[in-house]
Amino acid sequence: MPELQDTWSWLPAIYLFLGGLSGGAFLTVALIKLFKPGKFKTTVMGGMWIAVAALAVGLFCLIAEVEKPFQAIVMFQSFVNFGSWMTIGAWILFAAFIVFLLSALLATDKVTDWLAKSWKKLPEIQGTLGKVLAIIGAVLAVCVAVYTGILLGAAPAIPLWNTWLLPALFTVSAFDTGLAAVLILAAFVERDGAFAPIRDLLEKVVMGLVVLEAIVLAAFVATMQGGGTNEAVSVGILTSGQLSGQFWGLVVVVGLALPLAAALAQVLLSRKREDKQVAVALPVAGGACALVGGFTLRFVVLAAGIHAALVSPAVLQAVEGISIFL
Amino acid sequence: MGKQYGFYADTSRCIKCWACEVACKQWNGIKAGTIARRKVHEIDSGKFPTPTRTFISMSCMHCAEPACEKVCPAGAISKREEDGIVVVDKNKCIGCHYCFFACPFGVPEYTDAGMDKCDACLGNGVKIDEGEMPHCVATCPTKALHFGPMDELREMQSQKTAKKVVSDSTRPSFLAS
Repeated sequence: MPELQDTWSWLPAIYLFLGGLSGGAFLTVALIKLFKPGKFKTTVMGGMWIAVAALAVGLFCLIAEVEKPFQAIVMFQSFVNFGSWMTIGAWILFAAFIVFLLSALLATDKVTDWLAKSWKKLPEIQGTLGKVLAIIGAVLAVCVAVYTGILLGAAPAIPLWNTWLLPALFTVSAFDTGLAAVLILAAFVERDGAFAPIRDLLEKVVMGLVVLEAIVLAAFVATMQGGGTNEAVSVGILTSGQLSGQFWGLVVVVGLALPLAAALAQVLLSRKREDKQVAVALPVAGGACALVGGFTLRFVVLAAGIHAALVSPAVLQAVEGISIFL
Repeated sequence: MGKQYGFYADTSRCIKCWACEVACKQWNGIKAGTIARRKVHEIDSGKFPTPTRTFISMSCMHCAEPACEKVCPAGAISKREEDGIVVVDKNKCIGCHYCFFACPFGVPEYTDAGMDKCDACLGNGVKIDEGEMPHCVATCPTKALHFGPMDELREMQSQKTAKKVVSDSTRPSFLAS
């Protein structure tokens, strides 16, 4: 039985999850802000703060994983090789955090009221500034989401990670979990009918994302099973090995099937009711399941990423005449 | 670019005495029970009644195109112009472990000081440009392990049955026979 990858522990898994959630949440509320200007302010503000908090905690986990965290945070010294995806990603994350934070501050009335006292022009330009930040932030949010997958995908010695399907999978999951977080928030703060059409649309988007994620996940598993021995051994850990319980139970059933059922139920139930309202429990339960599934996906993919030199030395040895026993 | 230096392991001569591993640890001041820059591996093949055991001493392969150098965010890994030896600047290394995921041989290991791997004994004062040998090679009692410019090593290897070393993407400076 192959041993699980432990060079990177569970801290990067938390980052991969929270980074994706942050990008997905910001993208969702930025689109609401741009297409429904001035509406659902509480959700937009809350979603932005979720994005800021998730990214802050995620970055903290990432920094805590390295051997010299205090040296790593001196970014202009430690992230200088732009041929490395980690360098590009680090600066993207840095930029995204600043834009997310500024957007969140600008969307918070208490902050803008206080600022307007000394910065008289603020109320005039606040709308435009918010829009510009939302657009830049939305682009960075997509980059943050994609980068969670690229970080692993750009590691050539890990057969399970070294495919473009991994960034695709993590990106879809990022949008899915970010949207779930915003929908949970909206279930509590948007209790009037005005949000109902938006909710209906977003639940349909959830369904689309779940189906898309299932397709990408299936393609990922099938590609690995059909790849070399290393790939098959690694993906076997997920489908039938040590992590198969987490994979089938938490990623597939809890993370995909249940959110799909919850979204479907909401769309169908809201049609039957005059006020288009649904119980709080349904979006909250569906969203929570999506979050559990999203986190477990990052955790199992990270843990099953065994180094090529460690996967199947016996097989390599037979093929190449020589191999490495570490 | 100058010459590319590398290692050549002759499995027909290796008796698995671990002298190279011990010399490496001694000369580079590596604490017992921690990491090992050089390791002697054993490969079992064949079945009863003709099983064979092959021993091979391996360390960093000082690849022509090091994957570790490419992925290092801090620019702590570099390939020396004069001899092609891949070295680590531990002061720059932040210990992110990304190079382990890039190296096809899983060579990088980590201590509190940063990433640690073979530097062909440049760090402990061996002058390879003056023909001095890294301590693993100098200590090998059976002359199974060799170090030098790749063209000279290829010449030595051609006298024996060459074995292929896995990984073509990084072009390792390591020969085996």
